[in-house]
Amino acid sequence: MSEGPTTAAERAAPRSDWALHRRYLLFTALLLVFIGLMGVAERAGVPRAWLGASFLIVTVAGYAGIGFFCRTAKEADYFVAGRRVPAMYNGLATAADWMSAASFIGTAGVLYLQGFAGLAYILGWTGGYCLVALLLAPYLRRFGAYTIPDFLGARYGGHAPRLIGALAAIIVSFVYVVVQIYGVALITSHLTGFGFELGILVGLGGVLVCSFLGGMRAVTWTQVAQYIVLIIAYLVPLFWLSAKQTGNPMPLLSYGAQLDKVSAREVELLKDPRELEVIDKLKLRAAEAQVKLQDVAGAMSRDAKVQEQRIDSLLAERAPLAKVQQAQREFAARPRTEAEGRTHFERDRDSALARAQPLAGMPPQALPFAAGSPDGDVASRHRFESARINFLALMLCLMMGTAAMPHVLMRCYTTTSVAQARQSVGWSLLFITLLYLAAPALAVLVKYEVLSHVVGLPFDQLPQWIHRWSRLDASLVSVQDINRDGILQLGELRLGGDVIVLAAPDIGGLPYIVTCLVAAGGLAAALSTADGLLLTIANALSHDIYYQMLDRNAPPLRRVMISKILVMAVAMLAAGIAALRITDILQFVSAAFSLAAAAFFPALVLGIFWRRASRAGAVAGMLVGLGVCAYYMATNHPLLRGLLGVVRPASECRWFDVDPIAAGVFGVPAGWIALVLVSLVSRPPDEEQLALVDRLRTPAAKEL
Amino acid sequence: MVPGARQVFWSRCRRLTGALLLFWLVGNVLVVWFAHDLNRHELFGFPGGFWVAAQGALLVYLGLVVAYSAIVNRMERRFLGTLEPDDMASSSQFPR
Repeated sequence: MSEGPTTAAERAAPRSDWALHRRYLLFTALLLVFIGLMGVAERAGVPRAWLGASFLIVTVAGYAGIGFFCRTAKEADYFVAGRRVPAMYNGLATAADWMSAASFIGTAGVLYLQGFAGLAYILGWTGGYCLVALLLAPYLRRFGAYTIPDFLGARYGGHAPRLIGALAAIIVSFVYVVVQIYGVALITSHLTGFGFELGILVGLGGVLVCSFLGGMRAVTWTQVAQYIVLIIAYLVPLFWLSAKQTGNPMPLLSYGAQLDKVSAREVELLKDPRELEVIDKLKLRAAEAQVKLQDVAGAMSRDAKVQEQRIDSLLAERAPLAKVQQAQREFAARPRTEAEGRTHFERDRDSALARAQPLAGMPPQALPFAAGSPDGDVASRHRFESARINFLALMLCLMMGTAAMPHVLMRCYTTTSVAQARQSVGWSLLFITLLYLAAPALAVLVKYEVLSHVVGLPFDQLPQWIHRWSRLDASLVSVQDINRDGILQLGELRLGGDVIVLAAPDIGGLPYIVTCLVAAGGLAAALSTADGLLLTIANALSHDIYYQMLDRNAPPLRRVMISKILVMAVAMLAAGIAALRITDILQFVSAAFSLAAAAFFPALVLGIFWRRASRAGAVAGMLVGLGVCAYYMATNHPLLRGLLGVVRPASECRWFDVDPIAAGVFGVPAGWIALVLVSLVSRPPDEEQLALVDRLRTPAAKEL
Repeated sequence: MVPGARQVFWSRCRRLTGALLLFWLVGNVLVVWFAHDLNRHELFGFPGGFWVAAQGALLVYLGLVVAYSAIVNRMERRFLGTLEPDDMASSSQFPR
């Protein structure tokens, strides 16, 4: 494997760390000055749309500037940043690579909505780095190639392991990149008021400018900048909210008092007669929908008649135009066919039932496995056990997935030495932990604000953010006076998970620029992850499939060129799919984790730690792992069951009551066992492969 | 090279990895399994189970990774100190 035309001078004199420190300190200072200026501008009365747009333009222009400055066509620079990234900066870049739109926007939202259950994500996404550090990072760095399929190809020989690895990397990363671009578009349209599609285009430009011009090198140095933006954006509203609520601006380790208040308020709300009234009304609504389902056609025509009468009476009493139009829109959107009517009524029933729960369906914040109780009756004990097993399964699955995500593992190749690769994981984990310590704190502070200051307000005094967000997207925020008492109950307020972080400054009554800053941080998180993923996909296609399998004689310059063209093409395709607006960000990300874990984890780890692991074994392990995962998801995920027409009852498809989101917890052991069994009965690895294993295990004075 | 130095290095490294991972796995499983019971006790002003899952475990992960890299990097430096100049050349030129 050639190292590309890196000159001896470049290798002998790596960038001095102090030059780097100075550059990024300057960047941070400029960022803070910019935020300060925006704060002054807001006081001076500059319109909000301008503030939002300047945050968008300035940060994206900053990333583009760094990307342009680091442009390269050299192979080693393009694929692995010349292997010149010091441990701490590699840690920063990995952290930005790692923390996606889902981490930034979604995690605190999940913690807000699901309480303790959301901590499975926090534990999984940090604990996985122990696996990366101990099992993979130093060995991959010592191996010193360009991609993860490279490792599989060299360790097991032949084309099959490399091809399966490349395809798995492409599928996993593609699912993930679509979600990032969706996040970019959501934030951009919120920040500037652009349409969703235009938001996608803006985000696409920001992503492409880095990965297209400078590959891994440009992506690394922009990611460092993006980490700085995203961590400031996450911590500022948290510290500010905390100072406002408790007078203590350092909430990270001491928000327990707020958590106590939230728990006390939850107990109150559980007994509040008005909340109970809302729940009864919702149950009634569900029962009505159930009655309509008995005679769908009749109910449809009755509903249509009621709607027509309502429009007529609104027109007759000269109601405001907006109200009339609203009623007309509802009438126009009524179900037309009987099948549509049936799904319409079913949806009504299910959403009413889902909301007719204590605390609007949110379990008490601090209570683990709140679906049941270990002291309750048999059914309740069973629900408790099932929640506990699912927490454990999801956590382990995310951990193994973390240690198998190709875009993160690729970052093990970019440090200057093996020792630095080990340290680099420590730095990554430190920077990641900073955000994940903050997420549960933010969820608790926002919940405190909502439970004690928003719930109980009269409907005509609701804060501005509720109106603004519900206008932007009713699936994110909606309110409805269900028991018609003119007061907002918790059961009448619906908050989507994606809105918790983005609206946290609004909810806490902070200035508008903090909202802009948070949005810019979310944008940085989404862009940095999208960059890393696009590179992974393009490199798998250009390096592993084109160069290693199709044309071994392609010169380095052409390989870089092909990778650049592929980055462009894949980005376009991902943007096209994101434009379809597939919602529910976290579901899809977690599916990607299961698949990555099943495809890579056993083959990579056993490839290093078990000499006997053979090519046939690796192929079998990867295929069985992926197969078991895909099968479990297909038979258990409601969406996939519908698509594939699975008829077997869902309860029979379940194993140990584990949700399909954690399918990897079956895929990995299945793959592991298949790899071991097939290796034992197949041809052992040859001399060259055994020599590679030995090289991985032995420190060398000079590393590649 | 000191005879067997490579094997000694590798078996130490593997033992350390195994021990740390065992601690990691058992710790994780126990903490999740008993989270409900831990919640009855207060830790740093939080219900115990919540604190461990939201903060304690993260700090332990960080400690594990930092300890591992410090120990193995020191082992590696010692190992390289035992190499003769000849081995230096040969060990960096493994066939690829």
